[in-house]
This record gives sequence, structure tokens and C-alpha cells, in this order.
Amino acid sequence: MDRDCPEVTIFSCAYCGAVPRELALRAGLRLPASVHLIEVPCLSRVQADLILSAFEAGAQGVLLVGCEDHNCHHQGGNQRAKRRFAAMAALLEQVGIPRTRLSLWQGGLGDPRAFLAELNSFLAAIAGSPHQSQVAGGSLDQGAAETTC
Amino acid sequence: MIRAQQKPLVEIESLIGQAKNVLVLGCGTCTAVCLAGGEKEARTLAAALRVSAQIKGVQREVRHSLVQRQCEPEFVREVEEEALWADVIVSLACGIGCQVMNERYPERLTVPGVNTCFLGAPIEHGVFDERCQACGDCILHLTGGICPIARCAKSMLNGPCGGSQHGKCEVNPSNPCAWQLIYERLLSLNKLELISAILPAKDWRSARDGGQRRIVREDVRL
Ligand code: SF4
Ligand code: SF4
Repeated sequence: MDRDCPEVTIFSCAYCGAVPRELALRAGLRLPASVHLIEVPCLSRVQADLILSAFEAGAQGVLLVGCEDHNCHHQGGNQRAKRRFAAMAALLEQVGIPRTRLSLWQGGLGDPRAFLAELNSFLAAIAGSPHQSQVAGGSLDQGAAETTC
Repeated sequence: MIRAQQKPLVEIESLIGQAKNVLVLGCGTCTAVCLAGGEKEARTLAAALRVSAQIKGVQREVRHSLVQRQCEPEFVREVEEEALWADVIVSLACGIGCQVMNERYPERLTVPGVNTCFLGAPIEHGVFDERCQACGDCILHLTGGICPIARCAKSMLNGPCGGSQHGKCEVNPSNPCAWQLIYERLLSLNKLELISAILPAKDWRSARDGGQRRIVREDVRL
């Protein structure tokens, strides 16, 4: 299934927004091999140079995962990341990469379903096949979660 | 310091034209501090140009490098190998750095990657305001440390004009009236008599009006 899955780089906050890692640990999330997870100490560290590096390295999309507005470990890194997001998306458009190839998701550790839904819809939007945007069966509570790729 | 803003990518690409080897050259001083042309901006622009070329199917190699002070010939010597490798150099220094590169490497065209805007200071993180127009005959001691040349829209020497309203400039009400600021500052310094004294007409030859300026320090010439 991974064959059809787009190459995506996830930059994820390593603290309150570390949903992808938590999902892997607690719910046994299996990220497709084409989805690369990179944790950073704070999402505000992710600036245009890193995002362009990911695209240069072959990513078809970049998903930024950070903590909720009121819950930043660094007291405002998420706000900075949000402000930069618009500028980075504008730069990507100048480069010729559609804005939709860069997405920002903010959520807490208690929000794994919402994250999976976001990831699946992001993968589907890039792959251009809406039927893939469904969280696969199994129960997060019972520790079985996977993406649809 | 000198403040600058990066040009839009599409403009930079048009300046590069068909060049195959492109060097993006940042400056580690003024344009680095105003986040327009330091190492990070040079790295980002080089990556943006590479990805853009890849998408457009253009064969192009883009490298980036940094000179600590692009406005000094001694410093730009350090990048000789990279400069001579390039067909076109995109300078992210101010207009001075760009010209020094053109003078030092006349066989290569160095194009400006930034617009050099003004001499200014940060008033908060990410916000820069003009403070000086390098007029060559500083009068800050007479104006409470606030420059009427750079900060008054009319560069008035005996202000305010009749348009100052509620502390704002009539030309651009989002700016404070420089002469209101001067008045308040002189008042707080107990030196209001300075604002009553008429400043004579300025000799603008020390500013831009006398053409390109030069400073010669005979005592340090070799
Ligand atoms: S008076 Fe002239 S030199 Fe002094 S701050 Fe103003 S423009 Fe600059
Ligand atoms: S309102 Fe003040 S700053 Fe504006 S032009 Fe008049 S004197 Fe100068």
C-alpha cells in the first residue's frame, strides 16, 4: 500500500504536540514508510529553509504538528510557528509548490483521532484520491491505529 | 544599521536569467541583523531557487555562501573561488556590498537580491524604523536626539509645520510628527529654548546634493 502513498515529512513538536510519537507508542500507529517523522524541540524552529530542504529531498508535502494555542511548552513557540506558517506557504507558492502541500495541525496528546484524520486527509489531498481519507479500522483505545496508505 | 528587504523570488529569478551556476552571497552584518540577507536567508533563497528550477525543469546549480562584511574588499576576497565558479552572483548585502562585489569581481555580474531601504533601528522584534539619512552634518544635539531630516516628512529644520495633528504627521498619520517628538524631548530635558532658536538653512552639499561623497583620512592612508 505504501507504494501509492505520497512522500510526506512531518515536523512535530516534541512536547505537548508530540501526537505522532504518542500514537506510535500507545496505539501502535504504523506510519507508512513514505511518511517521515522529524521531532523538533519546538515547532517555531521549523522555518522556510527546513521546509524547502524537505521538498528538495523529495517530499510531496510537509505537515507541521504542534501543540494547541494555550499549551506551548515554550510559552509562545506555537504562536510564532503560526505566524511563520503563512509566510512559508506564500514562499512555497512563489517557488511553484501549491500552498496545500504545507499544512499545520495543532492539537493535544488527547487528540489522536483528530490527528489521524488530518494526516489521512493531507495524504489524500496530495495523492488526489478522496477515498483514502478515512482512518483505517481498529480502535485507538485498543491500540490499533493506522493510516489508510 | 542599514536596513534592507529581500526582493520577491520572481524578480530575483529574472535577474539571474539563463545563468547555470548561481551563487547566493549573504552578508553577516547589517542585512543579517535585519533578517534580509544573512546566512539563513542565503541558505533559504538558494534552496528556493533550486526547488523552483527543478519544478520548471531548468538546469541550474545554486550554491550559497557568506561574507562577514560584504562592503569591505578584504572580506570579499575570501569567496574568490565560489565567485569565479558562478555565472551570476546574487548579493544579499546592501547596495554597498553588491557594488564592492562588482568592483572586486568585474568579470562576474553581481545582482542585488535585496532592496536597500534606509538607516534605521529596530523598534520591536521584526519592526524597523528609519532614523538617519546620513546628511553629513549632524544636528541631533539641537533637536533632542531626534532627527528631523530622516523623521520629518518634509525634513524641516524649524518645525513643526502647520499640519501636525494630535502628535501625528500630516503626510502619513501612522508616523509620529518628528517635531512633536522633538518638542516633548526638549521639554523633558528642560531645553525648550532650543526649539525657539531658528536653525539657518542647511548646506545640503554635505548630503547627497553635492554628488557622491568621499571621506579621506590622511592619517591612516598607506
Ligand atoms: S541630522 Fe543628519 S547625520 Fe544626524 S541623524 Fe539626521 S540625517 Fe543623520
Ligand atoms: S507633521 Fe510633523 S513630521 Fe509631518 S511634515 Fe509636519 S513637521 Fe514634519
